[in-house]
Amino acid sequence: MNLLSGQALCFSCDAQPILDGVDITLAGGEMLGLIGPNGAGKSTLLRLLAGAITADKGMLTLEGRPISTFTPRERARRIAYLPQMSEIAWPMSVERLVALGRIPHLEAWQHPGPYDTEIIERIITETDLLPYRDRPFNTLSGGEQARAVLARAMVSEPDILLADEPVSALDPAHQLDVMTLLSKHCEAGHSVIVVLHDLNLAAHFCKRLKLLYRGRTLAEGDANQVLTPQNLEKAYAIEMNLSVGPSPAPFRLPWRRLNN
Amino acid sequence: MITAMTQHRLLFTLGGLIVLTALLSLLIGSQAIPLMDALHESFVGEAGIYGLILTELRIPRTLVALLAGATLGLCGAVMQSLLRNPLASPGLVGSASGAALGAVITLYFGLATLFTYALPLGGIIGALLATLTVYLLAGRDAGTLTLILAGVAVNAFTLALVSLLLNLAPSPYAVQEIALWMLGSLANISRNELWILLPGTLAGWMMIGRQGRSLDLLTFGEETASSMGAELPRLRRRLFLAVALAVGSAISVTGAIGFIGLVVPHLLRPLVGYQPSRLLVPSAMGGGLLLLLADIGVRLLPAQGEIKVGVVTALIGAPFFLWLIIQDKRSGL
Amino acid sequence: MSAMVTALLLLLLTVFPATADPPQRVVSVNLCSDQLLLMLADPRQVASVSYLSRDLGSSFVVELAIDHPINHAQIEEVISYQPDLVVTTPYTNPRLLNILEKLGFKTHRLTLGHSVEAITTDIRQLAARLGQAPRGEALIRTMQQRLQLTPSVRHVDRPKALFYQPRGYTSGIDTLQNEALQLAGWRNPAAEQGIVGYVPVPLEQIMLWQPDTLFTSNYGVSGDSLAERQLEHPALKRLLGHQPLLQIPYKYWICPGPMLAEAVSMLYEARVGKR
Repeated sequence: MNLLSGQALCFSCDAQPILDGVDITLAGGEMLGLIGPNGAGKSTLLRLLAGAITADKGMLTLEGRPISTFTPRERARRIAYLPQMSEIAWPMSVERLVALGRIPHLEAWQHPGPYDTEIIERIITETDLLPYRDRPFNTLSGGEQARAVLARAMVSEPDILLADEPVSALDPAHQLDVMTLLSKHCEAGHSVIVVLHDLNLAAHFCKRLKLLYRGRTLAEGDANQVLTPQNLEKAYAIEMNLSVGPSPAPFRLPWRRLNN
Repeated sequence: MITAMTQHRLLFTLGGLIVLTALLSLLIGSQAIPLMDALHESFVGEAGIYGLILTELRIPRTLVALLAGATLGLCGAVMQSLLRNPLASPGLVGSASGAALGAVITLYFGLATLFTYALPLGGIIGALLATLTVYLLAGRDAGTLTLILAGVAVNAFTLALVSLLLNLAPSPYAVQEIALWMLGSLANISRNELWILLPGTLAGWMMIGRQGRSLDLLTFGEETASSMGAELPRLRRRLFLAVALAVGSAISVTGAIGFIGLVVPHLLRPLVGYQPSRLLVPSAMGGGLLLLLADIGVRLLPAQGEIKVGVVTALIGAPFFLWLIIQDKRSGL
Repeated sequence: MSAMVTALLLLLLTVFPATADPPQRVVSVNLCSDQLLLMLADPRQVASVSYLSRDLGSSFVVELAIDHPINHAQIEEVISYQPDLVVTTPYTNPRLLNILEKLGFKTHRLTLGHSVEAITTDIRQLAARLGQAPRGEALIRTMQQRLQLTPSVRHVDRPKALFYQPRGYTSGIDTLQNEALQLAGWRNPAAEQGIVGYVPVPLEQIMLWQPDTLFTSNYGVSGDSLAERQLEHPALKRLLGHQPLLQIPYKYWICPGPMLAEAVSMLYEARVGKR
C-alpha cells in the first residue's frame, strides 16, 4: 500500500490550470525527486500535498484514507512541509524556532517533554546548527537559515517530508549535507518528496524522479528513464551534455538553450 | 530550560509589581485617607467614610484599570502575532475607536437604558466592525505601511463619527464628553462599571486562552502554519471576536485609551524570546500595570478636574511610537 | 467710603429718576437682563429681548417675552431696533459693547452679583433707569418677604449640604447656589473650605465632606450621558443612605434675580423636611 497517493489532482488559479490531472504515489522509505521547469506546478503540487491548499478535483489519500478524514493536527504529525521561501515574522532564536516544529505533537498547554528536547537536540546537531542555536534567525546567513527551517520540519518526525528546493541557497558542501540528511530520513523508514532544480543532485539522491511539465507528468521513473535528451528537450528546451566518464555516475550538464 | 526560568522570573516580577502598584493605587487618591482606618472600616468595623472611599471608589477603579489595561496589552499581543506586524495594536487597527463609537451610540441615544449590557454590546459590535474594516482594507498579509494607512483612515473616520454623534446627541453634556471618549478616563469608575466590563473581558480572554500555539505557528507564515496544523480561518474568526469582546467591553467603560496595546507587547517581546505564545500573559500583566501606573499619575497631577488617563498613556506612547518607526527605518524593514 | 458714595448715588438716582425721559425702545441681549427688564418695564418700553427669554427650560418670563421680537445679540439686529437703551451684563460680548458705545447708543449694565444685596441693587438701578422705581421697590419687597420665611439657625446646628452637578461640579463662595444654601440655613462645606465659584471636585472630596444632603440640577432635556451617570455612583448612594439627590431646576441658577427667593424656599423646605 502506498503511504501517499493522489489521482487526477487538479488545481487552478484564476481559471488558469496549474495542475492538470497529476497522479502521484509515494511509498514508505522512498525519496521522490520532483523536477521540472519553473511554472510546471511542482510547488503547487507540494502545497497541495501539505494541506496548505485544497485540490479542485482529484483524490488524495494518506495511509489509504482520504486526506480529508484527518484533522489538520493529525495530518501535520504525519506530513511536514518546507516551503521554498521561509519568511519568519519574529527574530526568534534558532533553537526556539526549531522547537516550534514539535507543536503538532503537543497539546495546547503541554510543555515539551524530555523526548521532545532529545529530538530537538539531535536534529540541531545533525543540521550543523549547534554554534547558532542561540542566534536570532534573521542574523543567520542564507545557508544557515535554510538548515534551520529544515531542522524545524524534521523535528516533527514526519512520515512524509515535503521539501521545496531545500538546497537552492546552499554551497555545494551544505547541499550534500542537506541531501544526506534527507536520505537518512528515508533510511529511517520515512519518505521524502523533494523539489530540485539540480538534475545531477536529483539523479544522485532520488531513486525515483517525477518530471512535471505544464501541470502534467511528463515522465516518471529512475534517472535513466526520466532524464532522457528528448524529455529534457521538451521540458526545459535545452540540450544536455551527458557524460558517462570516469565518475561513478553519469552527470548531465545543461549545455545549450534550444530555440523553438 | 533556561528560557522557561526567565519566563517564570518575568511573570513573577510583573506580578510583584502589579501587587505593589495596586496597593499604591489604593493609597493614592485625590484626597489623603488613613489606609488603616479605611481597611478597618471596609472589612471589620462599621462602614465609615474612609471605608466607602476605599471600597466604592478606589478598589473598583484599581480593578478596572488592571482589567482594561490587561485587555489592551493582551489584545495588542494577539493582533500583532495574528497579523505578523508589530504595529497592529487595538488602537491602530481600529478596535479602540470602533468600541468608543459603539459605546457612544448606545449611551447617548438612550439604548443603554434598555438593558445593562447594551453599552458593552455596542462597544463590542463597534470594535468588531472597525477592526474588520481595517483588516479588509489592508488585506490579509498586509505590510506595515498598508496597515498603518488603513488604520489611520478608519480611526479618523470613526473618531469623526464619535465627535459628530456627540454633537448631535440629545444630552446637553454630550459635547463636553468628546475628550473622554477619545482619550479615556477612569475617573468615577464604580463597581457598576466593573460588572459591565467583566463578562466580555473574561469571555474574550478565555477565547484567546489556548490559541498561543497557533500564533506561534503563524511565525512561519500562513501556508506553513496551516501545514503544521493551524486552522487559520477559524483562528482568525475566533481572535477577531475575542479581541472585539474584550476591547469592546473595556473601552465602553473607559473610553479609547491609546498606546498600551502597542507599547506593552513591544517592550516585552525581547524578554520572552519573541515567541508569540509566551508573550500573551506577560503582555496582559504589563498592560494592567502600565494603565494602573498611568492612572496613578493622573491622580497625582495637579489640575482642576482630572487629566484624562489617555493623555498620560499618549505622552508615554507617542514618543515610543516614533522611536519604533525610527528603529524600523534603521533596520530597513 | 465707596459704599457711601454708592449709597449717595443710589439715593440721587431714586430721588431724581427723570434726569432724562424714560427710555421707550429698550433692547436686552442676554437672558439675565431679559428677565429683569420684562419684570420691571412697561411692555411698551421693550423693543427686543434675547431668544433665550422664550426658552422654557431657562426663562421665568416666557409669557412676557412672547409679545416681543427676539434677537441673538448680533450688532446689526440690535441697531435695527434703534434702541434708546441697551441693557447689558458683564458677560455681554465686549466687541458688541464697543461698537454700541462708538455709535453712541446708551447702555445700562447690570452687575449680576451672586447675593441678595447685589440682586436688590440691580433691580433698583434698572427700575430707576426705566422710570419704574415703584415697580422695582415692589419686586424687592416681595423677594424680601419670601426670604424672611426662613428663620436663621445657629451655625453649628445646621446640616451640611452640597451641590453636586453633572460632571462633578460643586458650588463654592460667590455663587448663587451657595448664597441660597446659606439663606436656607444649610452649611456648605465647599464654601467653608474656601472653594470659590463653580468648580469640578473629585468624588473622594465630596465623600470626605460628608454632606447630609446633595442637591443637583440638570439643564436642558436630561438625557443619557456619563456626566449624569456620575450622579448615580454607588458611593454617593451609600453616603446618603440611598436618599435621592434633590433636583432644583437649573433655571434658578442661571441668573441672579428675585427667583432666588423661590429657590431658597425649596432648599429650606428640604432642610425642614429632613428634620
